[in-house]
Amino acid sequence: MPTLNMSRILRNLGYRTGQSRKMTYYRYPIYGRDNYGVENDSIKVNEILIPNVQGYVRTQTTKNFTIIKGGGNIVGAANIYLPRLETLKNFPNFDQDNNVFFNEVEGWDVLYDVDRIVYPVVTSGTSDWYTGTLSGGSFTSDGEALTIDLGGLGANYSGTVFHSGTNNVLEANRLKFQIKASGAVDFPSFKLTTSGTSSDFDITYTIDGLTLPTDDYLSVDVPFVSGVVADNSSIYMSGTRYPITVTSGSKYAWTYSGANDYYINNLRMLTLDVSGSSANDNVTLKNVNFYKEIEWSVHSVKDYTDEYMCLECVRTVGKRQSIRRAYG
Amino acid sequence: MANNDYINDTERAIIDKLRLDFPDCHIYGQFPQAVDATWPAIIVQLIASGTEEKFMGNKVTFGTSNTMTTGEIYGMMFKIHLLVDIDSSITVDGTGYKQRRLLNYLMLNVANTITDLAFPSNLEIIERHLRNWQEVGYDPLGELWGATATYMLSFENYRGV
Repeated sequence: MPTLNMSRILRNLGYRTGQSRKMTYYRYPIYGRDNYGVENDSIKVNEILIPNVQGYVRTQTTKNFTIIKGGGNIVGAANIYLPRLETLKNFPNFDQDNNVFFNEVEGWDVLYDVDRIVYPVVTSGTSDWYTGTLSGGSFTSDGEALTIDLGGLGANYSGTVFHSGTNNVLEANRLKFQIKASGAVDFPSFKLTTSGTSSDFDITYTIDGLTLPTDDYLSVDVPFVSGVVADNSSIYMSGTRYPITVTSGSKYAWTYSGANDYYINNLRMLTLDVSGSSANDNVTLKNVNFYKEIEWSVHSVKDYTDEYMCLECVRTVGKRQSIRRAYG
Repeated sequence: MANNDYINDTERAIIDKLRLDFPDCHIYGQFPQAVDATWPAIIVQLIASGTEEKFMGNKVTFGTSNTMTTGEIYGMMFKIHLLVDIDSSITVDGTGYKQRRLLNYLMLNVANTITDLAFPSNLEIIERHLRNWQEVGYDPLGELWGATATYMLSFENYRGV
């Protein structure tokens, strides 16, 4: 038996220092190969995308702008401590009964940390939330989470609620939130509308077959960057993957252009599409954040003990945000 | 003296044509900053330029005109780099081409584009040579497939009367 309870240490450290953090574990999909050994476009094994993995980040360098200027691609380094492999495998989303594709940490696996939160969607109150097509819905908040009473319209109904405003999300490249329900509530899609309010400006995340959990919150963490429309995304719940298909409206663009207004500068609407089955169903939502990521890529395993793993990671990403705003 | 800008005009003509023929590639006139680079990339890098040949009296004519002015044959040397990362994909005849297959496709078709390139009428290109693709290979750390070819051309540096 291990003598060090790494999970407990990480939790306790989390109260005392910002270095114990909840990150998103990611492994890129593996593509099929043709008869000549070249990868094709069909995915053989899906991506692994698991939010809320607690780890301790011991940063050596977070950003080195000199390396970037010199043409280098590696702009930071850190040692990241995770619980031992057996503990990690017992986390709900690494569940070996459902998620057989995760067996160990591999090279070039990624841990997404939060660089900074660009825009938190308010759930501590009910302002700027509207009922959309769910005409009988209503909102309450306990100061942290927002509860959406779906309206008691009877059995098998569906509709949308949305948050509205004009808020800058240009620097954000991921969206995360936590959601759960009371009752059998399906969550078929959510969408973001930027720049304008018509469907031309939508980017829609359509989820295949997801019924929201009623006990624990489901953590959703999806990319919000150029390329996501082709790559799509995932939600993992208890180790089972629910595929997300991402589509965008005809005017959706990832570039900033003040000239034609087709830019992702302003979030106008965050719309949730839900469908309930009884009069008392509701949905609870919290920690809705558009954030800028730090992508830590595993380059080596330093320690692999009964108590913990120490991963040597480098940071390999990051357009300068001022340049992105200037050039798109 | 005429205010000519033949080097920039030539470079732009190459870049514009590559952008037209390869809309799914990102065409750069120099190596991009690593964090700004997007794949697949075609990089047109000017590596040398200078006088190639002078004539008696330093005089030349331009095109079909008989007017003689000061000038000479001026040469330029480019390196054309093709870079394809592990995720780059271009659909060719309904099939998604990636990695080595995409590089093979680009080597032949970029060569075709460069060979067939029609320069604007303000340039009088005298000679051009595209050499073979070299350093065709794979960088495992960067997960990049790449190839480089040298492209030499000379033009008439017509400097006005």
